[in-house]
Amino acid sequence: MGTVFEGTDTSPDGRTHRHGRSASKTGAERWADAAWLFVLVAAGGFQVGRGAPIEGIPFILGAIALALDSLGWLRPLNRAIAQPGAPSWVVAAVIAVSAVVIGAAPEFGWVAAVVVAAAGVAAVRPTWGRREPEYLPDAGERRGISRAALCWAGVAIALCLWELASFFLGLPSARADWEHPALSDLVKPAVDEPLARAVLFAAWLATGWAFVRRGWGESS
Amino acid sequence: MRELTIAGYVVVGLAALALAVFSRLRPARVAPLGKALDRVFASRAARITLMVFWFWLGWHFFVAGA
Repeated sequence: MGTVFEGTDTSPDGRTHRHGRSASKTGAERWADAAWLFVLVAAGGFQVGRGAPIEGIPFILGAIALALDSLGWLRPLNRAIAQPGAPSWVVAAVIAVSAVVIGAAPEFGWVAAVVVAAAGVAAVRPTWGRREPEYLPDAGERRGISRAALCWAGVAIALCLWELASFFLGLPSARADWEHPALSDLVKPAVDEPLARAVLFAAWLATGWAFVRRGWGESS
Repeated sequence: MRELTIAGYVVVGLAALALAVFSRLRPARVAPLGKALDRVFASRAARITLMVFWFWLGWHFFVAGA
């Protein structure tokens, strides 16, 4: 089951933290989990439907993991782990070396597959497990966070709808495809250039690192 | 028509940029992206979903060939 907390305490800075684990979730948390599961299933289904089943696999695996987690079947994996930490120069060096490798290696080759897969595998553990306690913002902060979540969700949904519309409008012919390019088609020329590919890869890896460092509370 | 499609992407990008700037200037009104991510990432379901999207982006652009 997901991390649901049994009690709260207040730290010297006045912030509230939840602690302790519970097997139950609130109704709102269950609905939110169902919404995320739907997003994964929809994205995976779209990838399979557009003829890219390999790209659908991460979404399907993520959906299966979420579904099994909600049934409590993955409870043995619920070991809380510490926040990933490394000196910034080490992180920067890993990102830089990986980016150089990706830029120098043949485009879309096995080297890129190995490096990207390694990054994904490395992200699994900090994504699944979390150390407690979790920081709970006060009511005022929560309102600001809710507005931010709604606004960013709106931006993401707008991008997805525009991308979807472009995809379907571009299906009938090569001419239609050119008139309604997917975002990927617009970015691809940059990925074809070794230097730009290295920079984009570094940005992708840095984003992943920033993501696994989010949501730990104490360091937020 | 191609220009209109591209303009749509640009508008979404500008909206994201405006939102990021506004949340920096008025954090009490709209929380900065980092704070919102901290809250969202406290949920395992959200973490898994967003990390899967992150991984897919890398695979899509650097391995699968977009």
